Amino acid sequence: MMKKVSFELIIPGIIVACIGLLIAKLVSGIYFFYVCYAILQMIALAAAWNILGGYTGYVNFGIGGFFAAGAYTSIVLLKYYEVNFLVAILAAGTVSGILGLLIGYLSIRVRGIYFSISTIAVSTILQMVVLNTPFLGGAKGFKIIRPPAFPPFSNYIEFLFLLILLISFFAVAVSRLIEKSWIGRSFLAIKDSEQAAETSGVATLKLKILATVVSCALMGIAGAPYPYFITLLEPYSAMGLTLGTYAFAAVFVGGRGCWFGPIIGAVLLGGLQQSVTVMISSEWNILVVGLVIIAFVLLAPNGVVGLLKGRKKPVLLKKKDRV
Amino acid sequence: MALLEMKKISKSFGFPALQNVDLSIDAGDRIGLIGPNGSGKTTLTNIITGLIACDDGQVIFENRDITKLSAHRRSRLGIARTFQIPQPFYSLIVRQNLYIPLRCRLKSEEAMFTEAGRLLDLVGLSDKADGLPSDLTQIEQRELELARALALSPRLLILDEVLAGLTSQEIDGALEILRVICESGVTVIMIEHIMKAVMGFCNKIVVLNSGMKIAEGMPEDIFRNPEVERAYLGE
Ligand SMILES: Nc1ncnc2c1ncn2[C@@H]1O[C@H](COP(=O)(O)OP(=O)(O)O)[C@@H](O)[C@H]1O
Ligand SMILES: [Mg+2]
Repeated sequence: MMKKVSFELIIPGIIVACIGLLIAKLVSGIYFFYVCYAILQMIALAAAWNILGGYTGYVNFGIGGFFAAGAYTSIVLLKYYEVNFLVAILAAGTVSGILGLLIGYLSIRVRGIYFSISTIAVSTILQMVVLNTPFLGGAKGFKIIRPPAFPPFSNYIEFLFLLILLISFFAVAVSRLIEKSWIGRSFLAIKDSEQAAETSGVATLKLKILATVVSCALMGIAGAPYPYFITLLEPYSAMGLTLGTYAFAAVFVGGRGCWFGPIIGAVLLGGLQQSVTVMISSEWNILVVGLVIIAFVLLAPNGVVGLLKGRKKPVLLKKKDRV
Repeated sequence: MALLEMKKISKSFGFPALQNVDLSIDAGDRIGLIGPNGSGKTTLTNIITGLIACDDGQVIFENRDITKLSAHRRSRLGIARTFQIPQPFYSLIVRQNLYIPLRCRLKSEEAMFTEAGRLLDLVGLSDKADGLPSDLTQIEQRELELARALALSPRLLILDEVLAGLTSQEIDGALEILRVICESGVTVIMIEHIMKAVMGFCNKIVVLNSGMKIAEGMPEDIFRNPEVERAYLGE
């Protein structure tokens, strides 16, 4: 096990970090790093969502809430207690993981759409808490001044880029480790039939809670550097539906239940979003992305991965087959 | 010594689905559980396997009270079942469907591969091992149900209408497989409407009607019982 973890996490992690550093050295434009940050953050969130939603089939609509819980934890610790960034990241993961544990217990009683609606409630409750707590910035939020760049970086955004690169790598690697193990197989069994999984010896409750905690903790971790990226952390944008919807859409476009689906989806959607914003306008961007999502839902419900594998036929074709 | 004992099992879904059902099954028994549709056979199966809790009564397996035990723990004790409507794991290939229960008793992937191969061979699905369950026919999906249940290496196997829809020849083939399974020391509860199969296979029959056990005994005696006849004629 330890050997597997070091081969799948530590060594590739070091390689990814080196590549990230190299990119930071070679590329000088700031805009490039902003775009990469947005896409990498989407990859991290999508990969995290996929662990619960893609494998076990429990659809969590509260991405924004768990992400924001991480972002707020990290900014509070960094601003008021001046902790190390790594500590802030770990704390962000812990707080969101604990929130995930609560949601996990929900999954004992409620399934399907009822579970999903409950996750929205978590987001909304968090928003209310932040709005009414001056310590957490209230409605005004936190205005963040980025620290000066430090070597080897020539700009703080390069450091943030490296950070989110490693976080998204970590989220994808964890998802891949799970997928390749008996745990991932059991998650899929839970998605297909909880009853059959249970009577086949799968401890479904324990595994569902594991999936929720890991998934939500990773969302929190993805949110930890966000305050420094956005520089104004306020409850409406951080917890709004936009971030979560994009991550959610990235999984659908890329392909659910497959570790590289979120990467494909986030790169496609993020790339599209950025190029439409640059070439046309940011209003069009939402429309175009929306159309792409609808097209995928109708024509390729299993995303790009589903198209590549070509196993399951899309909905429209299936209907024709039936006639 | 009884392998499974059910004492005064009751379950209500707003109406009494099971009332004071007693059942005692010895190791090596081949029980036929019959009764009209809606008489509570599947509900009884759910209570034995732990998928639903009974309102009242006790379930005792190998002298151990398992009334409060979760379903996955019971399956690890050796209680296996098939589902009336097949519930394959659609996201996994056929072979991997068996890996889920096999992991309860085997550690390495190689061992699981070999054992899955043996079980698929037994039910006649070897050539579909690498396919998806969605590509299987209804009957093949039932064979997969059976193989998946057997993968637990069960002490008690509950078959919920596995023979439905089979032709007479296919039934004979299936009963052959079930005899092999019984000879390897598995106790079987067979829920079935096909009387030919029940009569040919079981050594004891239990009849449910409207959630009550109305008869129990040797196959020959059961079909001379007027109450059983009435239950079936009323259908
Ligand atoms: N989960 C449930 N909730 C409510 N009613 C149920 C449930 N399961 C079964 N029933 C009802 O209990 C009765 C017995 O069902 P069942 O055990 O499936 O019968 P059988 O398997 O003998 O055909 C039926 O009337 C059925 O509708
Ligand atoms: Mg039934």
